[in-house]
Amino acid sequence: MELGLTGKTAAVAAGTAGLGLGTAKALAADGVRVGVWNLD
Amino acid sequence: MELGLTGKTAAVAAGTAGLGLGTAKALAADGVRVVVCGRDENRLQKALVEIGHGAIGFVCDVSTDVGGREFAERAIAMLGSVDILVANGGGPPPGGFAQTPEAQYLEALQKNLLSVVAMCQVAVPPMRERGWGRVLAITSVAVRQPMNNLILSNTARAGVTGFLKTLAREVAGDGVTVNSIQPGTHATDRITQLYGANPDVKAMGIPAGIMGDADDFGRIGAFMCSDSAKFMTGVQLHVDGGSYAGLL
Repeated sequence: MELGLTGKTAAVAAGTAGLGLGTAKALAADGVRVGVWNLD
Repeated sequence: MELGLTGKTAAVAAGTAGLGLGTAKALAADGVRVVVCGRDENRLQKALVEIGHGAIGFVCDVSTDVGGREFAERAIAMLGSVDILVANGGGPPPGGFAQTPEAQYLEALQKNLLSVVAMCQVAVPPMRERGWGRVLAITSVAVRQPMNNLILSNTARAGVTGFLKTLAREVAGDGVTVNSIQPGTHATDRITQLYGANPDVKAMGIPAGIMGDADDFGRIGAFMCSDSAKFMTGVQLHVDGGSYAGLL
């Protein structure tokens, strides 16, 4: 399925583990430039 | 996004127009072998061309339990098995309490409740045996927030939502998910029927400021049928441009 997200950008809070990481991976796999951060 | 649906089969009731057609197109585009039905042969043939990807179909009226059962049985016969059932159908006529005789409630329950029950009775047991299945019913955001002058739809679709939620919990352990998708105002023939050819979108009060697109709707439905949505069941997802004002 083409989501139409190529070239979009996303900031994923607490995106280094768990559900945030899963979301960041899915967005990146669909062409989104992703930024993540966490406390560690 | 890879939906993991390649090689699966789907029966999309009333899949020759509107939101059913949008869903059939999205599933077919993701590798699903699709069978659709509709009431009109010409519209069926046009829809099969639009869906593409080898979609097949036949004329069948799913506005009763008999029609719903016939559709599911013929779909299984044509495809060998049905992995995905999209339970869809037209809405009942508009009207409020004062304009609606009791007999029309029975017709509405046939159309929007018992037809879905019958489709599920045919399609779900084989899904459970195979350990994989998806039921997606297209209902209405009116289930969540009843709409004025649509007392039949409000009543029948609330009933089918109770059925689907109960079914979802009963079959969840067999790899079968059961969800409904609740459209708000989309640019379809149904809206033309209710509001005329050029509805005033602003007057509809849709926060998004636009009507929904049937193809977008179909892709949301396709995701709900995907392998990645295996943990999503018993859900009623409203797709309405923000019209529904409640929290839950």
